Amino acid sequence: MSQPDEPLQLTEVRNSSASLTALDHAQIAELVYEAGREFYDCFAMTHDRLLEAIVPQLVRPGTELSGTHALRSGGDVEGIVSTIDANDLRNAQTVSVAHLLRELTASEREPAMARLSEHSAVIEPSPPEGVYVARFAVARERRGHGLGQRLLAWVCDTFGDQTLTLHISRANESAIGLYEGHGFRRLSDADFGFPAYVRQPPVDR
Amino acid sequence: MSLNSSDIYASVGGVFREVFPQASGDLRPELTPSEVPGWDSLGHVSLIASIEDEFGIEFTPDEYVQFESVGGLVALIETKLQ
Repeated sequence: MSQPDEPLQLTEVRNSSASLTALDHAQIAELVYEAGREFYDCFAMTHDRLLEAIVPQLVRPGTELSGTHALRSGGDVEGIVSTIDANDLRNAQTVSVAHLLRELTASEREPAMARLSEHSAVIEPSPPEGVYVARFAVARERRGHGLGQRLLAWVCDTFGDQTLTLHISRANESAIGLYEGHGFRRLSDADFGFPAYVRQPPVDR
Repeated sequence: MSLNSSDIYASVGGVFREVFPQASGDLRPELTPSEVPGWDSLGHVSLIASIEDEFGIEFTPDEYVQFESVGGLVALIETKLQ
């Protein structure tokens, strides 16, 4: 496991794909799924089929997952974070959804679209500026060791000179506490199932 | 076999009726999303996925949002098929 006194070993998935095994990709896809479970469940695919559909999105340009980094240690993937220029988010979401829809039959698409429509209605609109954290997850068996804190600190160190935005389920109190501890604040008091949280860059003095 | 514009319009029309069943009237080049019930951002994604299937093509991320009318879509398909 990543040791507290050692720097995190993060791999940029898209540019390191050749050195990652099929198992690495599957573990990364699993964490991507966990980070976006409510979105992916809209497609109602079997789990294996869904993971197979997620993997190509990690290495293609222009998807929500093109900027995915994996935290690896001892041959296992311990966590993932996917970031994207917030200006590119809408296009990237379009690409990602279209790729997943193409995996469905015509008769599967209509109910999937209905579920996606319901899901998108509970996500608070967020400003297209800075960097958007599209996926963030720590492997279940590695939780409780501060890896989420360290991974989020890496995000803030790496991209924190820009506005950072993410969405989190309002029911996920532990994750909200983590993000608030790193300076994220709710964008508004509006009633959304997935409110936006924003972290402003430090003000130069 | 290469497709000409009218072939493409015919195929796009079939896709349109499937993706936007509430749409009425003829498929005109100047038709824009605001005139077609259901052609919102999600409808756009569904249209793209179905068009890619229909013609066996794949749009780039920029192309996904490049067209703003039926005519633009058909022109884009023609370019991809060349």
